[in-house]
Amino acid sequence: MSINCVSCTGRISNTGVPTGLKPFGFTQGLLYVPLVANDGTRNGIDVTSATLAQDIVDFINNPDPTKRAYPLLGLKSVDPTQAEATYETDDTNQKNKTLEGIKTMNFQKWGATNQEFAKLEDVCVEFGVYKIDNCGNLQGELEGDMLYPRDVNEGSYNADFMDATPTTTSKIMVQFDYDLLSSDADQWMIPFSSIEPFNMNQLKGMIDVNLEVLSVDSDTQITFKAFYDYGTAVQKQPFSGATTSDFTLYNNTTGSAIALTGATLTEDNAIDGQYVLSDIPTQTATNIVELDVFRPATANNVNGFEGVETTYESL
Amino acid sequence: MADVLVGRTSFNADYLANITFEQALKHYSKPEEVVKQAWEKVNGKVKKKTKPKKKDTPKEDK
Repeated sequence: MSINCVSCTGRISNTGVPTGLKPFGFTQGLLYVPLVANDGTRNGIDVTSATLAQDIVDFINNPDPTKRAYPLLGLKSVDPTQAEATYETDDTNQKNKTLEGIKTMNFQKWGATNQEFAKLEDVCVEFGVYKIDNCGNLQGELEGDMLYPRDVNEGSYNADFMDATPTTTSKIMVQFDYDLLSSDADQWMIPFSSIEPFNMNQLKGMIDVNLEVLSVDSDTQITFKAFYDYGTAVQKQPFSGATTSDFTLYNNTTGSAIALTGATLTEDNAIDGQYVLSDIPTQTATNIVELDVFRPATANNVNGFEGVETTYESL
Repeated sequence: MADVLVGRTSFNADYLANITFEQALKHYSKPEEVVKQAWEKVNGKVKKKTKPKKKDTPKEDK
C-alpha cells in the first residue's frame, strides 16, 4: 500500500456516484484461501462463470486442500483497524506522506473449544481472505474476471485462546495484517443474489475425519472406526451415518484404486462410527491398502468431510 | 454414486441396478433378507419363480 504504488493520471478523479449502490456490510465471516495451489495455479473465483454459486460450494469442498477455501463463520467483534500513514516532516513542520498505514483485521470466535483453536492456531502457507458480510455478500480483490482473496501478511498472523470466566465465554481471538500491497480500493463484492440458492453465511467448512483400522477380518473385509478431532479425551465424536460411497481404498503396493461399487458398509448398532466394510475385491496378501474418506457438502448448513487416511496390510 | 441403506448397511445402488437378485445373493456376504431389501429398493419386488405349467399330455389309451 505504498503511496508510490498509486498511479497518477494528472487529474482529480470524478466524484459523481450513480444511485442504487449497496455497500458491503459488516463482516461476519471469512474464507481463508491459499494464494497458490500445489500445481502452481492461483486460487480465485471466475466472476463470469454461469455456475458461480456451485463454483463457490465446490471451492469450499475441493478435494485438493491447496485449492480449497476454508470458511470461518459467525465471527464476533470484527474490528478492522487502519494504522496511521507514515510522514516525513521537514524543518518547517510540513508533512510529506511516504507510506500508507497497514490495515489489520481483528476478530473473535465465541464459544470455541481448544480443539477448534488447534485448527486456527497457525496458518503456515501464504494465504489470503475473502470477507463475508451480514447479508452474505462475498468480497475479494478483482483482477480482470477473477476475484482473488485479499493477500494477508502471514507473518503477522496470531491466534490466542481465552478461557471462559463466570461472565465471559471461551474465545479464539485472531489478528493479522493485510499485505502491504493490497488496497481497499481494489475490493469488489459478489452479491448474495449471485450465490443463491446458497447462503455464504451458512456454507460450512470441512471436518477432519480420523480413521483407524481395528482388524483385517478376511481378504474381503475390514473393521475400522472413524472419528473427529473433536469430543473429549475419553470419547472422540464419531463420524456416524457414513455410506460406502464416502470411502475409497487404494492399493499402495500396486498403485491402483480398488473399486468399492460392489462393497457394503455396515455401521455397528452399538458403537457409532465403527464400521465393517465387506465384499471388498480381494487383494494380493501383504499388499498395503490405504483407506480414506471424502464427502463434499452440497447444501447450506451441511459440513463436508475429509479423511486422514490410514493403511492396513491385506490378508 | 447413490447409496441404498438397509438399517445401517449401505449398498451401491448403481451396482445393484445392474445385477440380478440371484447375482446379488451370490455376491454379497450379507443375510438374504438384507440383500433382498436392498435389491428391491433399486429394482422393485423380486419376482417369485413360478413352476412351468405342465403340458397337457394325452392319456394313453389302455
